[in-house]
Amino acid sequence: MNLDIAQATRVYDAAARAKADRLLTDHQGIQTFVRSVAVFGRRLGENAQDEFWKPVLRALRRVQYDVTSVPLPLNHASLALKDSAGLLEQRLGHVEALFPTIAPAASAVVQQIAELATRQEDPLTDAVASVLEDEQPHDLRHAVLLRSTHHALAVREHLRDRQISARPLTAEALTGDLVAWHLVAVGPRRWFPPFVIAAPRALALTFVHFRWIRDSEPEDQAFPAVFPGTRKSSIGTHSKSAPVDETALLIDAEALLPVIDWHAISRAAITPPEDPDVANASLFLLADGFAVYLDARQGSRAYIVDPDAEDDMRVRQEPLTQIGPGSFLLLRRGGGGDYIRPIADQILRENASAVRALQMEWKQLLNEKVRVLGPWAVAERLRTLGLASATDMNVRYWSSFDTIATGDVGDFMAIMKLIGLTERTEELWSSMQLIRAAHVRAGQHIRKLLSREVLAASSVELRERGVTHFELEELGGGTLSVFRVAAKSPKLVPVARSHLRHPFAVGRDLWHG
Amino acid sequence: MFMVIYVGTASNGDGAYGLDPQEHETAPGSGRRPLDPAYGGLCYRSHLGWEPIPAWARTLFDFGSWLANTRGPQPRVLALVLPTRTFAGPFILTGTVIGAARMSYKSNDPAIHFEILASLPVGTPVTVRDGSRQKRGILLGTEVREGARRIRVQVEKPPGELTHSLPPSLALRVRPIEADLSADQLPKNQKGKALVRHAGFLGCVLGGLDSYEYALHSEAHGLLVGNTRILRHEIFDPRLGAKAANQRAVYEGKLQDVLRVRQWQATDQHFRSDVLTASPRGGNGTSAIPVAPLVIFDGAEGFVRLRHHWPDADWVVVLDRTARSFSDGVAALVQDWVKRDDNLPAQGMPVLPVSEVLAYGRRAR
Repeated sequence: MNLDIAQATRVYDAAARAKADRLLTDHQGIQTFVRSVAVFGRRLGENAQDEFWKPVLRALRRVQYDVTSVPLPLNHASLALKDSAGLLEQRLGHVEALFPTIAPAASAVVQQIAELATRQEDPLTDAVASVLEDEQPHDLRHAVLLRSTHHALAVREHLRDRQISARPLTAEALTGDLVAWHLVAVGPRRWFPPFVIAAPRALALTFVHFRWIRDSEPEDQAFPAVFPGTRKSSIGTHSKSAPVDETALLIDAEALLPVIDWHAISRAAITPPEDPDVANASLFLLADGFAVYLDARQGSRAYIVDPDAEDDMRVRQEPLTQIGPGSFLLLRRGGGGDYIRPIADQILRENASAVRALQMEWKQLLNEKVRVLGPWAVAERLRTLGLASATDMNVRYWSSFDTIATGDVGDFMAIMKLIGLTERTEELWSSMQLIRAAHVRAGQHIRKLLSREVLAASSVELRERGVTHFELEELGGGTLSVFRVAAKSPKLVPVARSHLRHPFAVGRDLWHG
Repeated sequence: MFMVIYVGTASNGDGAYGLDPQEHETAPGSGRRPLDPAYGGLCYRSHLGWEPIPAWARTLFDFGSWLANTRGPQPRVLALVLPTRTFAGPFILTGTVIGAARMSYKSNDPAIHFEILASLPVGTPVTVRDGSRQKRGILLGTEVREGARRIRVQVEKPPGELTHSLPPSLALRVRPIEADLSADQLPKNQKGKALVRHAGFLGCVLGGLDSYEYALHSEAHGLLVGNTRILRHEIFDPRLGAKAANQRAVYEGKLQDVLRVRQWQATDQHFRSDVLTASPRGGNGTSAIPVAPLVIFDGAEGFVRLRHHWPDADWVVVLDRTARSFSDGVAALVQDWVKRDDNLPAQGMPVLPVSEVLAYGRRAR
C-alpha cells in the first residue's frame, strides 16, 4: 500500500515509541468450561479419533476459541452458544449406554455451555473498555485487534453499542497506513504475527486475555539464526491487570487455537456419487468462514486481485501453486462459478449459442472417446496422429468443458481426426478462435471493471474484513467477490467439477475464519 | 522497547522519529554525527505546510551516501528490516546517487573529456549544453581554428545546419547519449530543452555540485528493483521541496530530479539510475537487466528472484516487517549469509534505531 512521507513518519514514530503491556482478566464460568474441555479431552483418550467424538470435540473447541477470543457478551447471537449446546445435547442424547465412562463428562461440558449461553457477562469487552476509558481524546483513533474476521461485524456493532470508539480489525489491516493511538489486541501475543509487536501500528499496544492463558515473550527478531538471543522486547503489565493465576493450571495459548481439520471440511462438501466428472482440487479456506475448491491440474490458474500491484497486474491470472495465505481470490457467488464465460457470451452476441454448441459438440465426442478408451489410450492415439504433446493430463484438459481448445491448429486437427470431424476442422477451429478472443476480451473487461471498483471501494474493507463483494450487471446475476485466502489444503481432494470455483460457507465448527 | 542490531552487536535505540530531525545514530565506533548539510534543507509538504524531512528519511539518505563513499572491491550485502518500506529504496538511492556524483565530479577533467569526444566516430549522438538548455546533436569530429583544436557538434539539419564549435575548456558541455539520431533527424530550428526541471530544488539538494553539469552526465550509480508502480509514485511525488541555507523560500521538486531514472527519462536525456520491476511477469519478460554498482532490492521478491544477475554489485535489501514476502526474504538472506566471506566492518554506517541491519561481505566473482 502506498504511504506518503507523513504517514510513514507516523509509522516510524510508533515503532520508536510504542509500549506494549498485558491486561489479564478473568471469568470463572469460562475458566471452568475451558478446564472441563481439557479434562474431557484427556478422558476421551484414543476415542478422540472416533468419528462419533470428532465433531463433538470440534464443536467444544470452537466454543472455547470463541469465548476466549471474541469480545462479545456470552449470550450474543453471533456466538450462538445456545445453538451449540442444543446440537451437542442432541448428539449426546443416547451416548450414555455406549460410552458410560465418558458420557457424564461430556454432558457436564455441554451443560456449562448452556449455562454460559444465558449469561450477559462480557469480560473481554469490559477489559477492552477499561484499557481505553482512561485515554484522552486524540486525533488518532483506537483499534481492537481480533485474531479472525469471523465475528468482526458483530464486534463492530457491539463496540458501537457500548460506545467504545475503536474499530475492530485483524492483523492483515496493520500493513497499511493505519496507525492507532491505542491498539487493544484480544488474545495472547502468540495468537498474532510477530510484526504486530515488531512493527507496531500504534503508540500503545495492550494484549487483553484471560489470566489462566500462558503466553510467551515476543520473538520479534528478524534474523534469529544470525544473532541468536540479541533482541528481547518485553511486554509490561497493565496497571489494571489481574495477577497471573499462579494456583491455576495455565493453558498454553496455542492449545486454544482452532485446528484445521481438512478431512472433515472436505467431507462436508463431498462429491455427490452420481456426478462422474471429478477433478483433483485444492481446497482454499477463505476469510469470513468461506471456502472454495479450485482445479489443481498442472498449469491451472485462477484470477487474483493484488491491490498493490502495478496497474495491469492488479487483477490477473496466477498459477494455483503461487496462491496461498494472504492472496486475494476473485470468485463468483451464485449464478455459476464462472464469471468469464457469461461476459464472453455477451461479447459474442448472436454468435454465442452457435459457437458454444460447436464447442459442446466436439468436446462431447472427445469425452466419449475418453470414456470408452480411457485417457491414456486416447493420448497414445493422438500421438500417433502427430499430437506429440498428448498426455493423459492434456487429454483431460482438452476434453474439459471449461477449456476452449488446443493452442495450435495442427494439434486441433489431430483431435478432429480422432473424433471423426476432420472435414469440419476449419469451421470448428475458427469458432474456437472466436471464443478464445471473446474470453481474452472478457478478462480485460473484468480487469477494467474491477480495477475501477477496487480503487473506488479502496482496499480498506479487503484489508480489514478480508472480503468484499461487487454487483456487476454484466454477469447477469451473481456477485463477484474478492476473498482473502487464509489457508490452503496440503493435499488434493477429488471434487465434482460442478463444485469447482463456487465459494461455500463452511460449518462454523469446521472453520473459524 | 525496540532495538537495532547490526553486525552482531545490539544497542538500545529510543529516539522519537520525526521529532528530532537533528541527529541519528551511526554504527559503533563513530558516535553521533551531524547530518549532511545538503539534505538539511530538504522538506516535504504535509497538511500543516512545509516541514523538515523527518529523521528516518535523512538517515536513509545518509545511509545511501555512506554506501557510495565506502564502496570497495568486495561486494557487500546490507539488509535493512524496517517497519515500512515506504520511500526507503528511493531515499537510499538518492543518497547514493548524490554521493557517487560528488566523487565522480572531482575527476571530470575537460581536457581528458575533449580527447574522449575526439575519439568518438563522426555521427555519434550527443547533447550539448547551451546555457541552461540542452540541445540534441551529432558529433562532426574536430577542427582547428585559430590554432586551437575544437570539437564540432551539428544541432540543426539543412538548410541551416547550425553547428557549435567548442574548445577543450568547454568540452564538458558535450555528452554522448544512447539514442538513435542522425543529421537528417535533427530539427530545423532547435531551441533546446530545459536541462533541469527544478533547478532551485536540485541546486539545494546537490549542495556544491553544478546542477547543469549534473544533468549533462549519464552514469548508472544504482538500480532499484521493486514494484515500479509504487516506486514511480514515490519518485514523482510532488510534495517534496528544498530550502537553501538562510533562505525561507522552498523550491519544489521531485526525487526524479536527482535520480534521473533512465526508464522514465526521454532517450535524449541523461540518467543517473535505473529501475527494474521485481514482478516475474512485469515488462513482458523482455526488459534488459541494467548494470549497476549498487542494487537496492525494495522488498524480498526481487532479491529472491533476481539477485544472481548482479554478482559483483553491492546489494541493499529493504525488508518491510509487515510484507507477505518478509519471511521469504529473511530465509534467502540467511541462506546467502551462510556463504559470506566475512562480516562487514560498518564503522560510520548510519542506522535507524527501529531497524535491524544484517551486513556482510561476499566473495567477488
